[in-house]
Amino acid sequence: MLRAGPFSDEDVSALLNRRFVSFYFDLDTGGAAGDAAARKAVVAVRPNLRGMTVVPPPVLLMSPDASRVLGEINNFASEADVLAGLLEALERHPEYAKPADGEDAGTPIQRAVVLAELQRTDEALKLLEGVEDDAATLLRARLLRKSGKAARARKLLDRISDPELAIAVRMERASVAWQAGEFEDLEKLLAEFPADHARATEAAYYRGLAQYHLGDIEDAKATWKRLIAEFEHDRWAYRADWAFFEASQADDGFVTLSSSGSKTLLGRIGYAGRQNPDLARR
Amino acid sequence: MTRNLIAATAAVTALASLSPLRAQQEPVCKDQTGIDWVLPFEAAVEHAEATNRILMVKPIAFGTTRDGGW
Repeated sequence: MLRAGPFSDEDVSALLNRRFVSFYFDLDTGGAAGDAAARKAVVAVRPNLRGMTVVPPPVLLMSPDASRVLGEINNFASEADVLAGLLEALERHPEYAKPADGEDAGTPIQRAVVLAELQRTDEALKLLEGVEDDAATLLRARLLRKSGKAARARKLLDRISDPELAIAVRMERASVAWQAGEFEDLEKLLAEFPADHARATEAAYYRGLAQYHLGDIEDAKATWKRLIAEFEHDRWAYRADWAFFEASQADDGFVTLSSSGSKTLLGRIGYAGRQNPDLARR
Repeated sequence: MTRNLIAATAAVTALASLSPLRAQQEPVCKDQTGIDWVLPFEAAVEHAEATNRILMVKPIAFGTTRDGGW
């Protein structure tokens, strides 16, 4: 669940990579990601995870030596809840939240990127005031869009002329359209996206969302299916798998786990816990 | 393009890109959520202690696969 949702969210991964050390393991030590040392440490602090049948375990935020649990995040948490949980842990334990060496140095845009990753958006925007280059303008537009200031973001995007940033600008415009629920514009922006670009999978995922919200459910499913077939190991494929699964549900029979024995396109048995927020009616 | 703009563009791209670094150990090598997973456990603890960072641990209730799936 987390993998197709919060863990593949770029804000969550950026914060994790900036201020945490991330580890996962299979509670079954015979599993592909089994880890006896991890199991021993986790069961010591969470004995309820000892059995062979457990509810989906939460995310544990632990001290660096893994002896104490500093916080927990539910396995079915939303992106916003995961971010909130991570930030709360950092606030309550500033001893583990100090800047890394050199983090406070660097150009204004480099420092703004770090602040943005820490969700300190206002401070990042302040740092970028007066920095007149296209990359800084793009970052400011992104931060304004995330702050809900779409009109100001669009104005900034109109000012960017560097051809090297054309795709990044196009994707940022797509993000504005997505956030605003402008699905026709979203589809137009993402049509004929360069297939060999690093953000092609992201573009395909959002094009599928545009098609879905415009009522072209079968086209959306086809878009996601092609994405998964071509890029099985990609964060956008993980998200597309969840979207395809949910879009395939009958109107009168929503299920979270496959009851027929079949699996999702990525081989999962389903997605339990909450409905896909990207498919929610706007 | 000036050197500053190259650096700035790289910084912006880094913000939007997939994670560039991950532990070179199966099955994590194919996980592409973008998170810089550190495996195995001993390595994660060592890294967390060395950098004085909170250790984010996700136990999985079975079903991990050799290609990084879970």
